[in-house]
Formats: sequence, structure tokens, C-alpha cells
Amino acid sequence: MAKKKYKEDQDTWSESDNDLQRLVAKKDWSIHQNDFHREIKQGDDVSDLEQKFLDCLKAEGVI
Amino acid sequence: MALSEPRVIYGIHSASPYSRTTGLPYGILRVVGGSSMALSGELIKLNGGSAKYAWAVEDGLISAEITLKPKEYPNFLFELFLGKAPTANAAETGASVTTLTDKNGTLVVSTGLASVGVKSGSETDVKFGNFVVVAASATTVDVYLQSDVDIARGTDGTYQNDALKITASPLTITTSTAVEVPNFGVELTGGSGTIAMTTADTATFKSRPINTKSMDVVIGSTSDLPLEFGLIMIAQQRGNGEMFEIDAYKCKGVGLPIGLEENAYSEAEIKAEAFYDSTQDGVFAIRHVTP
Repeated sequence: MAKKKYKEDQDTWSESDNDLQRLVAKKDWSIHQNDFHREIKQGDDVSDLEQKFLDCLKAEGVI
Repeated sequence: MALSEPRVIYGIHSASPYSRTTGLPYGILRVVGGSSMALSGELIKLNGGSAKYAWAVEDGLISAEITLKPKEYPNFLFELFLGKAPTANAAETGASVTTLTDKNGTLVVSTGLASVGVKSGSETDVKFGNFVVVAASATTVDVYLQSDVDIARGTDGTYQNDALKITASPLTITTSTAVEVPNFGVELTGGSGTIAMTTADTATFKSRPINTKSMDVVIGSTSDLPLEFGLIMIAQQRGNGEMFEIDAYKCKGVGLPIGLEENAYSEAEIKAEAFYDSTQDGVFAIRHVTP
């Protein structure tokens, strides 16, 4: 029983950590700049984008 | 002694305006459809009573109107007849763009666009075009091209819609980053601040492809002034070598029609007037020679 609780706790902790790192798009958007193209759908994690694009997404209310 | 050869005048060879100040020629019109002086006179008649013919006739005015019909448009025509000397540009091996200029609102600002330039390595894609950049959102722009006359130069450009938009998707503008307008050889650079444009604000620029020469001129300023000039008109040399020349010392003309007609070369018909030059004590001189 104690072992199962530990696992549940581990799962919970794991999800919490991911939530802290994820940046979820609130709406669809697209980025086109030189050779970089990205179609973003609502719910996508965009945390991998460069900061300059994240700034754009913030300005556009996407994140 | 036999009768001498009649003096006849045939055709037009050229017309060369020159500066009345220095005497130096502005250039030469070779592709010219005509350069004629009217020199038509008026007779003042005294009529009266039941006479069907005049009682007296005296001379009236003589028109020294010159009709020039150039079929070419050298720079000096704009200076002489529209009052503004064009800027003649040297060859451009790297193409060129004009300064990005606000048209509606304020797009050229630190929080918008800083400039436009030719993209290094894409010079051959630069076309002869007039562009409008419009903010599609706070951080994106669309670009429009006002004519497709040169759209196939280098990498083909294409219109995306009937509104003449050339960007398939809005371009994302980020701080101080050059963003290519795909297939057009030009790039827009974002402002130095946090990008936050106002939707629908616009700015314009023009581009010129790699070239051997170019000119541009803005006509219609209140300071524009058509100049007085001298004009040498020369008839075509005849088969017997005979040549004929008119040197109109002092002329003035205004207007330079430009015809853009289907399947036709533009030919201007310019009216000028020759008038009295006190230095020469005359209006024009004629020379003729039979070699």
C-alpha cells in the first residue's frame, strides 16, 4: 500500500513539473520568418520556441 | 548658265536643345518624328463698302511656334518642358530599395519596422516594384505589390489574392531581425524595441532590379521651372549632301505628353515658342549648304 501511494505521488509530482515547464497555446497561430515556419494549434506546447517568438506569442495573446 | 539646283528640305535628322547661358547642349533628340517651325503669318486686311477685295493689306503677327515630336524621353526633356531635372543614377549591381516610409499610421518605429533592404545573396530576385507593407497583427505583416510587370525576375513571385498580396502567410516580425519577403529579394528588419504594431498601419517602399542605369524624378513641385533654351533643328541630309539647319536662339515650351497606348510607342507633341533674343537681335538663324 505504501509503495502504491509512493508511485501515485511520483506521478503527481511528475505532472506538476511538466505543467511548470509547458507553455500551452490558447489559440491557433502561425509563425513564418525566413526559413522558420510553425503552425501552432490551440493546446500545443510551444515552450521549445525561441524567446523572440515567445515574445510574439505573448503580444498576440497566444500564450 | 543653267539653272541652279533648287533648294529643298527633306525630313528631320535631329533636334538639339542647348543652354542659353553656356551654349552647351542638353543632349540630342534622334528618335524624333518632327521638329517644325510654323512661321505662319497673318495679314491684316482693310475691307469696307461694297468692295469684294481688300482696300489695303498690311502684315500682322508671325507665329514662331515650334512643334517638337520626340519619340524618346531623355532626361533633359523633363528639365526643359516640365521644369525638373531627373536624378540620373549610376548602374546598380546589387539592386536597390527606397526608404521604408509610413503611409498610414506609424509602422516605421522602434516597436514596428526599422527598415527595408536588399537581401544579401538574393539581389537577382529584386524586381521593379512598388510595395505596401501592412500590419496584419501586433507582430506580423503582409506585403502587397502594385504591379506584376517584373514579377518573374529571378525567382518567380506570385500573387496570393486579387488584392495583390504577395505573402502567402503573414511574416513574423521580431526585434532587430531581418525577415525576407520570399522570392522578392528584399527583407524587412524589425524595430529595436518590443514589437507591437497597430493592425492596418501601412508603409511603402520601391525596389529596382540590378541595372545598367536608372532615373527618377518627381514632377509638379511649386518650385519646378521650365527653362528657356536654344534649339538647333537639322533636316535629314539629302542624297546630294545638302544640309539645312535652324538655330532658334531663345525658346520656351511647357508640357511633355507621355502616351501609354496599346502596341504603340509613346510620341510627345510639344509646343514651344521661339522668341526674340536681344543679344542676337533675332529669333532664329538658318544655314544651308550644298557640299
